[in-house]
Amino acid sequence: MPKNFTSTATNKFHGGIHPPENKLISSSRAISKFDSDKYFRIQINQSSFQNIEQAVEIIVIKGQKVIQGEALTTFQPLDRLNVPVHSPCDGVVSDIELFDCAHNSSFPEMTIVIKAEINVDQNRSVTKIENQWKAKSQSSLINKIRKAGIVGLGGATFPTHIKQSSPLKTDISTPSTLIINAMECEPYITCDDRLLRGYANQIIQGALIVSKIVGCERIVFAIEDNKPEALFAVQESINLLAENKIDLSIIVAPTKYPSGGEKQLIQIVTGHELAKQQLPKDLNILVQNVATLFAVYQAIVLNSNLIGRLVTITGNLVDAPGNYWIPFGTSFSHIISQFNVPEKDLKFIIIGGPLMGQKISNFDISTSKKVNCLIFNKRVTNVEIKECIRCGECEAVCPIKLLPQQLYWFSKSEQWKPMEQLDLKACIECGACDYVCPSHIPLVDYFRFAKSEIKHLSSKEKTSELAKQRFDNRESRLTRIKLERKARQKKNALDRKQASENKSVDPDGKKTAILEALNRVKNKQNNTNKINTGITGEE
Amino acid sequence: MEIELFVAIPPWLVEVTQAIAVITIFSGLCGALLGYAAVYFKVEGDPIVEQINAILPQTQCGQCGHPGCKPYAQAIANGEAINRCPPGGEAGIKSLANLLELDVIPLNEECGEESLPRVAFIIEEECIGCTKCIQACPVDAIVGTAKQMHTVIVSECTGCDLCVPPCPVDCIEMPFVETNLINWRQQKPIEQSIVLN
Ligand code: SF4
Ligand code: SF4
Ligand code: SF4
Ligand code: SF4
Repeated sequence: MPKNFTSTATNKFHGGIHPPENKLISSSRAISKFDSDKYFRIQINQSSFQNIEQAVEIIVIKGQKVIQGEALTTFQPLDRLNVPVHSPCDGVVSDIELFDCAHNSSFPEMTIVIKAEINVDQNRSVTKIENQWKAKSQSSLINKIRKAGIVGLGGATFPTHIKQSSPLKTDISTPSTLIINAMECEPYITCDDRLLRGYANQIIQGALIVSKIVGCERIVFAIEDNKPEALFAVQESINLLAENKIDLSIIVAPTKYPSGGEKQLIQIVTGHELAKQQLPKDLNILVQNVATLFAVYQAIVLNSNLIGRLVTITGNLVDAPGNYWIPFGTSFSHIISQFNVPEKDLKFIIIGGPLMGQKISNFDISTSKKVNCLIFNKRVTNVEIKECIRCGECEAVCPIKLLPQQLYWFSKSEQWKPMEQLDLKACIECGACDYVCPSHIPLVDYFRFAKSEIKHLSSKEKTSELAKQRFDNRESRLTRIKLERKARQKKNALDRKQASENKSVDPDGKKTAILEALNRVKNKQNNTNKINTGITGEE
Repeated sequence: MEIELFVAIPPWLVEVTQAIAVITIFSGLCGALLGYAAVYFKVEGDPIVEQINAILPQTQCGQCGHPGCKPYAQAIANGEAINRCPPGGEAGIKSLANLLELDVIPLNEECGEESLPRVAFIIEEECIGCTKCIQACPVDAIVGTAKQMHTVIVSECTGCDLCVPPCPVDCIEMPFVETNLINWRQQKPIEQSIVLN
């Protein structure tokens, strides 16, 4: 292709940091074989929409035989959010029970345990259906993606089918764009880098599929400048594309954290800053992570469901750091033993990167769709949290231009209203402020605490509003019934009185009958008079 | 004569008069608009009672000595103490004190103790279908009919405890609301500690 399709990014986002990358630890080893375990613990809910009311339905029973890739759960047709999970191996359902999961609350989650009968075969020969997808309709492709259990594999696990189900418009002045997010800006993580080096063709294929689904005019591949090999692989595979009807270009951005954040990425690529509450689709943009696109390729072209992913295993306690295909549901203790991690030195594992990741000290949990990297580091230093010295460092690095220092004070004194005014909701919990804070204040923890309390209060408000309405309804119903009963009693008493009076003067009721007849005639006359004179007053 | 008089009016005076006229008309319009808005958007009921009621937790349990939160809100507006609502607890007293510019006082122990949220549970096998609990429930959170088993709509139950005493066979329990992945709350970070890095 003669066209020069690679360019350097000219747009920047506010703030950001340059932490030590520590990527070479794992990126220098090619993707290698991982000996999988005999047991897999699959949490039934692995997308970011945890919702008990919309819980997925388990469709296997204890003792049932399952094959690799078979769906273990399903979803209601009306429920928009959930995605199914699948068996990573041929085996037997040995248990369906609550197990600990990688959630901050350390609450257990419903989990399906599969005992493998044959080892997992990541490259099981598949019936390639190659270019058949080109003839398929958009909705059938989206359906297939959902059925394959695909969620955002950049770590956010947002259901992919929801992101893709709003097609991009063609009537807006900005061209409809699919941005391939290959920034991978967090330190230590290299799985996207390695995936690109090995499978750039497949990822571009995945992007073409998604671009057909949402109907976009151009694809922009965005990558940081610290991954030259991956960049080269992508350039090669774009060159190989035979016919290229779609406008495909590459943007190389200088390495800066968090350039992989959706808002920041869009700003780098287009120069537009997403306003508050604005979504990428409002700018006619869809962002997809490379691992997600690879999963789309696997689902659509190879007809295989999502049962595992490339995971970066890294840190100074690991004997062979690198990237491995690890089936979902693999226990952390198995990984610890596979990589000869000395448990006495291991105080906690970091899931994800050191900035946005999560520290876990319970090793009796298993991998899931959100686990893209596991860091096993020997603890180096203890730091002491000190008072905020109001240095303003945190403000300078915040990519959303928030005021972390003020948010911190309000969260500490539990004043939620001003925090909402300072737009706490927009905080992406990137941890840049944490990283630079000289007092080592766990700012993000304070923000998460505030978000959780605000959510709690608003749900409390909702329930009390409901109770109030139900109480009021009941009160008005009771008063209505009471009034009705009173009116009835009054009428009955009156009737009884009249009846007894009538009886005394007119024992056989003849007189009353005559009187009533006379009354009727009179009424009729009155009515006609009224009509004639046009009087419509009281009778 | 008249014409001369007219001409004698200096142009600045004309401008000033015009300006005054414009401003008068404009403010008149604004006034009319405000007046109309006041009538059109009139707030129903006594606003201060409504504001107090909005703070009360709407458990409708009657521990404050009133047949529901609204009557207690009315009573507070009439000068009753603000520390009689156990479900609202300390936080409730604080917001009431804040709203009414009163001092924060401790919860009146005679009314009860602040407790964790509860929800009613009917042991369905033991329910004889007497409908007594339905009559007691202030928010219609129990469904059932005579001689049929009754059950609690969990999402609607305020945990007020009022259905427990009337039940002739003691088949209503009040377990604490379970914490799960949905209603779980993040802990406040511990200040001035040492963190592992
Ligand atoms: S964690 Fe939130 S407040 Fe801190 S830098 Fe990131 S976006 Fe800003
Ligand atoms: S960086 Fe830390 S010490 Fe400095 S102003 Fe922000 S919170 Fe305070
Ligand atoms: S004590 Fe019960 S009835 Fe009284 S205000 Fe509080 S919640 Fe409402
Ligand atoms: S079910 Fe019982 S505890 Fe729940 S609101 Fe009704 S009366 Fe109160």
